[in-house]
Amino acid sequence: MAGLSIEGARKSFGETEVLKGVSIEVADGEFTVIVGPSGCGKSTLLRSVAGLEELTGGRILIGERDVTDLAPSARGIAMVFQSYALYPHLTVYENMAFGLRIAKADKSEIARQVQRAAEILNIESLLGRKPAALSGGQRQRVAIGRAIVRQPEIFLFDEPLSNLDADLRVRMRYEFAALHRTLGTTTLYVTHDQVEAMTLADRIIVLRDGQIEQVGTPRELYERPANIFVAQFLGTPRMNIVPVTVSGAGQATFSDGRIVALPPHAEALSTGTRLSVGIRPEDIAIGAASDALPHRIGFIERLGGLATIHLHGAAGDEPLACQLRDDGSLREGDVVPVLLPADRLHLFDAEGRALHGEARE
Amino acid sequence: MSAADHGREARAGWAMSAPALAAIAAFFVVPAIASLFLSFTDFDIYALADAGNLRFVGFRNYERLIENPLFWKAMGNTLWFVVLGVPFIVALSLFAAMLVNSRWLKWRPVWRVALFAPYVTTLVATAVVWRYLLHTRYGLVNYLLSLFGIAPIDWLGSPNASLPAILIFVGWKTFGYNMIIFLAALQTVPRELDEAARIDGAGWFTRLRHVTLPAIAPTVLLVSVLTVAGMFQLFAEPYVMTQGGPAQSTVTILYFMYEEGFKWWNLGSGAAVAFLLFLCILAVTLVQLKLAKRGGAI
Repeated sequence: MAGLSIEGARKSFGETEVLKGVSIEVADGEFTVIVGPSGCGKSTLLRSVAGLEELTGGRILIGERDVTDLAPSARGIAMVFQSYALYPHLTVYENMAFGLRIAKADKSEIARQVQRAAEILNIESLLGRKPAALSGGQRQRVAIGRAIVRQPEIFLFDEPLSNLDADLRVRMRYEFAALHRTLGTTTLYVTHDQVEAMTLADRIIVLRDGQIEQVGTPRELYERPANIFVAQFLGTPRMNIVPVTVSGAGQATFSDGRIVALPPHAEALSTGTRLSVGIRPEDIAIGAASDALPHRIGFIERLGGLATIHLHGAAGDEPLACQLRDDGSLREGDVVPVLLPADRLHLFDAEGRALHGEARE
Repeated sequence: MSAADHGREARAGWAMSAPALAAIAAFFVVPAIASLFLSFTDFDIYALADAGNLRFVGFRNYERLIENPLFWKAMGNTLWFVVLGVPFIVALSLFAAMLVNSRWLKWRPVWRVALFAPYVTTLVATAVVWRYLLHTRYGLVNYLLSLFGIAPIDWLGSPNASLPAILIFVGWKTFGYNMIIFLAALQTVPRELDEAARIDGAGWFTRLRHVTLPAIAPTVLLVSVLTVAGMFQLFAEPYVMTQGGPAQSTVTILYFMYEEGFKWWNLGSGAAVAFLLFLCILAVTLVQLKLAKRGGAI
């Protein structure tokens, strides 16, 4: 096993630059998830690591080896595709054995490896079937099995769960985590689904427009997003962002003149500075207090246990989304006192970059 | 669904397919049966003038054919066309399709048009051009071969070279059509399959054999069946290029039938040839289907 380094990866398709100098370090055995909106270059990056795309610039190292110019099969990687890409005319066994067979491995060795992978994934009973006779989840397992058989130094996953239904996706997510714990292989996993990223990753890389926005553990990214993009990309419903103007020490004013208290590290900001404050829906509280701001409830999305409540403050401002345990007492059209706890506020400057204080508990 | 509903639906189905069935009956079934019937008569130019001259002769037409060396010569030539021509044309079409399907090729639509063009050009006009290309002294083909030190070949004048010459012409003329069919099939093969095989370490040929060909196997079968039928029915190309010569080396079964029927006016005998040809194509196609079924293509 080995770690992975990507150094200043650039890739252009004609005039379009898809990767604009991406550098990534993945430690040995780490599960790293690359997440970003569609078209951000995450799949291209993964395919470049696999050797399916040639980089326009930069280097890729697996362990100490420079693999930038090596063929896909010589890199020591295995890839699981979104569409699984199982060979339709071969049985599950033959699918999993294909790579070893081409490498002219010993028959008994092939059988041993396939058996081992099948046991890990619990698909021994499927070995004689063709892919057409398998369900989506089973195909997914076979695709992973084929990757395991290759005994790669690095696993590459390209949106492996997007073709599964919601229920199965949750189960497979859990299995991915368990599998990684069992095998401990360095993994690079691409997804556009922030829930997958949050639940699976040791470390998340947020990619936008061919550039890295932030790298960190799921908790770091959630608690201390580097900018508005990351803040809003992770978490559902997404973080509320409201423009304010600093109006005194430790306080700021909304566009309608109402005042909100800012966290301690904002004390240094000079009056008149334009800011954006961000607050996660679950950090907004409803309840009477001296500094509560009255909001009208526009719309309630009831999810059973939880409800997302859209709160309208000043005219023209975006409504705030607030997530609460739903006791059924709130009604659309009610005016309620809303608390925006200062210690839960995220501050962003005019360019959208985060203004951090010291690390929060 | 009740029995009455079922009956009504079946009637509607028959009604909707009736026009097509009528056309097939009028232009295929009836002529086929008529020609089978005619093959047991001495239908000729006299019988054309007065049907009273038509006599039932049993299997005499077939017996005469079997005794006719030219019939066997034509059969043999046709078999050569099938045996050599089908693999040649299928391989050529598939290669062309893979070429215009490959990602690194620039100007793909232009290539597609250029390679398809021979199929839609006039046969007689292109045959004339090819006669120039194949000319022993001034032809481009012999000039190109001379660059490799190969002595000039009398393409259309030597009994050994005429069949390959016609094959090259037929291949050039027809591969574009098959190419389009193959191209359509190739575009349905997911790119990830090829990529997965690359990661598994498969080279170009292994990927072709284990990924591409199995994925397009039904199309390969279709094109083979069509090409076999086409090769059995080869007529216009030898007719225009060599008139069956030299030394009857390019007389195909259909060319023979044409001469029997419309040169010597032995229409009954011509019908017998047509029926034997039909049996040949049917037999070969059935064998192909059987092989394909065993190979898992269908």
